[in-house]
Amino acid sequence: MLDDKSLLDACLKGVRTAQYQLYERYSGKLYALCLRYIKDKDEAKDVLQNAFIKIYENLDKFRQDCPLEAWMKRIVVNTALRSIQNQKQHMDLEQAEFSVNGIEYSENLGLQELNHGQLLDFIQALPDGCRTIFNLYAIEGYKHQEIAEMLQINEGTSKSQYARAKELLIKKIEAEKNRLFDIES
Amino acid sequence: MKKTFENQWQEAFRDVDVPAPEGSWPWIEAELDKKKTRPIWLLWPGSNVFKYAAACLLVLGVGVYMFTQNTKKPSLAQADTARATVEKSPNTAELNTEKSTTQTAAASTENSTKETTSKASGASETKAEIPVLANNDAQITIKKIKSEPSNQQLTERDRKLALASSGEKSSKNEPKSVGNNYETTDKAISDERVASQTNVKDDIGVSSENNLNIQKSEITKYEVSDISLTQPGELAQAIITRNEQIARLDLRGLDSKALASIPVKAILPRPYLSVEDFTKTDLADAKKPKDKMWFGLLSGVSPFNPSYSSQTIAANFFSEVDNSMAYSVKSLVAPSPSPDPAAAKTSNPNLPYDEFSNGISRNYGIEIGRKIRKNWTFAGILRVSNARINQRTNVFSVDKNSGNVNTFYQSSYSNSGNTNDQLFTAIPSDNVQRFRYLQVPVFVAYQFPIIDNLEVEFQMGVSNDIFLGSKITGDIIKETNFTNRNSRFKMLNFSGLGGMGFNLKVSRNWRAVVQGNFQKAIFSGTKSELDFRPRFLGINYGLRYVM
Repeated sequence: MLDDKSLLDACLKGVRTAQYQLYERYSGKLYALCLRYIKDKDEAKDVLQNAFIKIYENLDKFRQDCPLEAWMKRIVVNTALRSIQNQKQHMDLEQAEFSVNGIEYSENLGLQELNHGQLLDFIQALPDGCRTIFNLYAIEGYKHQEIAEMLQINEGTSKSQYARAKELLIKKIEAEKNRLFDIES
Repeated sequence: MKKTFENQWQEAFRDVDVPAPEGSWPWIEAELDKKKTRPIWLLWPGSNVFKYAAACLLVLGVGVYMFTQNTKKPSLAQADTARATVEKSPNTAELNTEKSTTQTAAASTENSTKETTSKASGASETKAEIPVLANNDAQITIKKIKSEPSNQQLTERDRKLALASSGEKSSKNEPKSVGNNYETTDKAISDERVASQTNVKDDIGVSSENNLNIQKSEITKYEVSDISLTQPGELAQAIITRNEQIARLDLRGLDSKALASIPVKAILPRPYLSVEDFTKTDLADAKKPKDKMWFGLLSGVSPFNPSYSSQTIAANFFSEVDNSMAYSVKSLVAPSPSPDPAAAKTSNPNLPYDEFSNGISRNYGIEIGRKIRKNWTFAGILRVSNARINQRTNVFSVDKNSGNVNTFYQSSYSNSGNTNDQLFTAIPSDNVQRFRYLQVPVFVAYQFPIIDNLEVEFQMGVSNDIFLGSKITGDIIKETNFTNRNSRFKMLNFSGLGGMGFNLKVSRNWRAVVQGNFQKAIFSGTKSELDFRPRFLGINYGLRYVM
């Protein structure tokens, strides 16, 4: 199996089998990423496909100063954001202030007890704006200011929406944990 | 060690892999194939001439593109550009600095705030330079806000923890964002445009999160406090964001060499590094004129074919000759007929013949065009076209009244009014007939880009050709000037035209244009029975000023 560097070199030469191998290697991870942003599977598939086209077309611009996977994820995230923006899904961002200060939750969320499908369901159940900001901040690690620039919103809105997402997720997780506890007992 | 809410989610989704959707790869493969085999519009059916013309245009276009690219791009060493001088290190740089009294600086307690103002001039060896692309009037003031002497190395985790712990507080003291500076210095750039740049740039962004090997002693926070520029899109902007420990440089407009030359060892916390090509494109877009209208100066050259109806000429010619001349044409035919007409002429120079060969046409004029839809434009040209054809004949006519000698063709089809001519043959004579038309072509064009800065354009339209005059000269004949009054040339003519070409963006407002054009008269250009439909096939070239 080729390492990323060799695979990249072959892809740069336009070797189709190498391109396919790159797709095989990363399509699963990147599709999982798409599904976190895009609820609809068909749209997520479109995002994945378009992102791969961008990846192949811009491989020569990859400077190899970070892992290939990180670079590809970055492209997928941006493609997903564009898709969301094109569909005006981000327009539902509400200006209402949310705060999680009053919410109590255990520091250990116990996410390891839940499978990926459940967690994905929780995230997908979030309102579109909340979901995007939660993904960007909590999982991708962007700062609120960066998110505000990316989504062309106020930094305060980003923080507020994240707080809302956090609140909704904590409630869902707690509810799910209680349900599991009831089943076990 | 306790994990934050965010850390737990990051771990939960780390290395998550789901089955890829079915049918994705075939679609991707088809798209890749489609882009790989995109037609280059060389496959024009039928005429080889079009293929050659298009091929020549393509080669010419690419050559001009490459030439302008090479000459347009200044080397970093030679660039006559503004230079922003940034202090290299608090320990090594000798600075001509002064205390800053800004509020932001005052908030920094450990070190004094220094301000360095750079202008478009050389810098001393003790100062590092950030070359700024193509902006002689740019001036940047960069403040050093804080530095922390320490040799501790930072890891990504350290950075995140630091951010998490100081995020809220530090954000209050953050300097203005890139967007704010950018917007305030150039009102012409809309919010949407700036946002669009950010998005596109991010598409190819490369994260440097995994390479955070930074010496704290070298971490310095900078703030661009003053940017004055005439073309903000081409100016490097060094901006610091986030917290006290992490410096972030957003270097719009810098290419890779310029990035590499930045002496500040700052952490670039987000993938704002790999932006050069897309950023350049975006910045170019930001400055792009509206492209709604253009004026052009065009010239062109092409073979000129009068497209005389040879059958008509030949029939009339031999009929006239047979009737008018003192001897029968038939008797002039060579006794041993040769299948080669040229050989027959050589063997019997008295055999009458009258031949035209293609000449050349040159035109020059002005153009005005306007975009009517996204890729569609409407344009008109006012140009003068000078054309010439060559004629070789040995049959002439002499006006019995004036004694003037003309060619058979001239007396029969060009001269107006009644003539009293007598045909005769003589030694062959080479004649030249020149035409001058004022052409007013109007056309619609479809334009689309094929690569950066290069567009393809397809044209189709009609032309109103006004006959301005003609002149025929030769060894034997009398030099004659024709106008539409003393000749049978029509004053108003109409042609159809089509073509394709390339528009090369050579600067912000200027386009170099190279086109292959074909034009042919729809109706005969004479009032005689002679079918005269001039035909042009050649190359037009020029410049357009786009607004």
